[in-house]
Amino acid sequence: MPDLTHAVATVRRSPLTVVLALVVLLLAVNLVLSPTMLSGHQLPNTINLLVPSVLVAMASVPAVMSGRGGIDLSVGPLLGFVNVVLVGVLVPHSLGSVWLSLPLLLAIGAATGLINGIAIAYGRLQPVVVTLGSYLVLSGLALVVMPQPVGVVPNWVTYLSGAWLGGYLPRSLLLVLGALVLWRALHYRGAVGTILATGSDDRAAFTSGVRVSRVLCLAYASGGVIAALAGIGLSVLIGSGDPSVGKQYTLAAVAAVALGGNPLVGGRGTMVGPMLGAGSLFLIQTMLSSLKVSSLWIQVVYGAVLLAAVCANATLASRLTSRAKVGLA
Amino acid sequence: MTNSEMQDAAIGAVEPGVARTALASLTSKAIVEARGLSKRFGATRALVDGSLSVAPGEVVALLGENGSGKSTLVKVLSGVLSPDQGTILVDGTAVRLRSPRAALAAGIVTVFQEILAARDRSLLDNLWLGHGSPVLSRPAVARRRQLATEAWRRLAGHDVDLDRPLGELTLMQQQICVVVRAMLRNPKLLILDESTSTLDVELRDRLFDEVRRRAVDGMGCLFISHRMDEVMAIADQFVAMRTGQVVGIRRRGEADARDLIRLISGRDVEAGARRTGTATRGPAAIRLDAVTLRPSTRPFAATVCRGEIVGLAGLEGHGQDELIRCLAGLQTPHSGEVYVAGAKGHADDDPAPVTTYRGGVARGVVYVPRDRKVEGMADVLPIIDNYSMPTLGRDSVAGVLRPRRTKSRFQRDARTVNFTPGRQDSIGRLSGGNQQKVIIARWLAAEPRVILLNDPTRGVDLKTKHELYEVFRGLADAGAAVVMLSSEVDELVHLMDRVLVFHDGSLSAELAGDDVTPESLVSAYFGTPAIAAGGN
Repeated sequence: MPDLTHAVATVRRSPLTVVLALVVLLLAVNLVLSPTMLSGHQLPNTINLLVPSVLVAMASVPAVMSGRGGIDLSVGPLLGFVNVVLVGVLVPHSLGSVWLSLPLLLAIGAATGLINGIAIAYGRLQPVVVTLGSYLVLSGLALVVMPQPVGVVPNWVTYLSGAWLGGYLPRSLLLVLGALVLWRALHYRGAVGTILATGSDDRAAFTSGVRVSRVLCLAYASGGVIAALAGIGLSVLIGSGDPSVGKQYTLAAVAAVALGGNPLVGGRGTMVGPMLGAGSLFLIQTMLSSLKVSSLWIQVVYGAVLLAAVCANATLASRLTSRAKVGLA
Repeated sequence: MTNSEMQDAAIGAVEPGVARTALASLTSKAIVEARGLSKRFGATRALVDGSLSVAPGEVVALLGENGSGKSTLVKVLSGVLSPDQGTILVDGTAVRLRSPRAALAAGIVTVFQEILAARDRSLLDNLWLGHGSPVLSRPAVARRRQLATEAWRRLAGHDVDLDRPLGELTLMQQQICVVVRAMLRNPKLLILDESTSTLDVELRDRLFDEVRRRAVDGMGCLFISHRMDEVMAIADQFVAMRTGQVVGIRRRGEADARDLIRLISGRDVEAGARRTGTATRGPAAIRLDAVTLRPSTRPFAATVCRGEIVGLAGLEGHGQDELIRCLAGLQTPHSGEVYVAGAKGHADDDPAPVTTYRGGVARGVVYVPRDRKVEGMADVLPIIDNYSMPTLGRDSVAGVLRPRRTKSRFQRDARTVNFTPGRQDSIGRLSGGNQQKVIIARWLAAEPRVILLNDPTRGVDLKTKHELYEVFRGLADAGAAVVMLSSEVDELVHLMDRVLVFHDGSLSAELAGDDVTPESLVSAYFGTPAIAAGGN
């Protein structure tokens, strides 16, 4: 049965196996605990809650893939900043129409990512330090622009909070779709491959003619654009401006990337994995609240699940490599 | 920058003159020509006035020992390093190669000494890494797959799964990958820097066939190998380098392997260290029985006695480094037995098997690693802390450290190695030679009986080198067995009582006393007896 063994091997080889199993398990538990979760009535709320987390996890992916200690800590504050700029600056100046504000917000995301990328690629600075710096700057700027939670979102954002098909197709999914289209386009242009090759061995990429510095800038800039989409997702969710909520998304995003099976050393990884990772973190949260566990425990459980998942991934991977070695001998 | 711009301008302007006309006639033929390339790193002149030219269809061999400037020249030609001075002409036009990408665009494709490939990516991705068009439509990918399959089959003679991650392939397959990658770019000039070292004979011959086939179509090739038989088999022209300079150019038929070796090693070797003559040999301190370092290499035996200095030599990566690490207990040999120094306290002890590094240290075996920056010292710590690191326990009384004891010990041992503590405090700020002195002083305190030195004079200036030689000689005279890996011919000729030369993972020659000459060493490096017997 060569087909079956091949299928088994594919499953084992896939970095998604662990996180996929986790999502299925958690989804089952959640449905048992609250069977109405996926009903047309509740689904839009659930999805709106989930969208910013998923997008911010996606935003962290390219930086981590690009290697050399690549990470983007600024995605959380960036999403908060985008929300604050939209509600606190663009709407009061009647720039809130979708054709003006959407490109502007995406440009803010791209510019932030580009600045990070330039400092890392051309300045040869460490990604953790650079993006920690922009983390602090963006958190501060958000407070300068909007000291307290205030304001209303423009109409097109309100529209996104609704759903089609009697509640079964929440419109905020358009934001995730946008991020996926962007990533797909980068794939098609061969850019994702060069990001991964750079992350795997930047010297090999450089000597093969890859413009490594540009690739790093592209990785961080595309992450910034996706983070801006996440900021719009946050605006959809809270319906107003809030300068303080963005920051907390950063660590969850890193956790989602690791949970999704992407190694933090770069060079490998998927986009779907971290999305599922963000999904499972969300499902843990809803499960615990259905179980009436104190919310104080949530972080403890997050941490434990994360460690368990990373261990499971590592075990699978090491079995595979030892098998591959035997196969070679 | 301005300097080279001026040079570009000067070359662009037509200037009558005998030398220039001669150069111009050369230029019209050459695919790639290097003129007066120089590169220095700090105080080291890695490349001095490097010039060569490769004509269409010509294979030029670049010859030289380790550190002779070959790799620097290759890196300059492939855009990895930019030269301090000099020009590169491609098809007669001066170009500035700012990056590997620029060199590739100019048609200069290099296969580097190390396998540079992304281990996580598939073989197919690696073969096309950094290449060409950005949009990867389905037909384009299919075309790439087909071209890659054909190129692989032509070179390797068999098919391969292009979708496997490179990291899962064997070393040889990875080597084929980087060669095929170069071929897929249809180079004007192909640079092969030690690319044959991991290929077996059959694959090497296939590669040579491919190079010859493409040479007929006008491709030029710059070929670097430490194996004389390969060089003699393929090259039309030989360029020899020594200490960063081109020291000779010979055409095929003008020189045999022996002449080339003489050219590479240089006959007028200035006196470096001095052998103090008859070493008084003590009992054996190291014994090797039927040792092999790698699979399917010839087993060998050797003995090192107390009171002598024995050199380990060979071209980089031919087994000498593995042996010294085996002696230190940092690595186990592929097969065979390694005995080093017996248990302490026994008077005339028999060497005992080496098992662990710590075990060796306890028996008085001292290892000074090659890369002192990484393995040998704590950069930011003060000199004295670096000195006392392994022997700190001696300075404690009832578990409390007595800094004054450490200090007096340090003063005594520093005198022995001729190190004068200056105002510098952290070891990272000392010169390479002085760092090495401190590290050696550190081990004097451990009363060593076997001293293993891994290229201890690398990056050390001449004066300090001589002081270190005195120290080593003194240690041997005091009854220690000194084993020293060296990449420097002078040092081997003048300091060592005996030299063990390694080739292809095995002991290929043992030279003693006055038989250690530059010529005998270098021909042993290249395994020349094999050439005399007709090669393989």
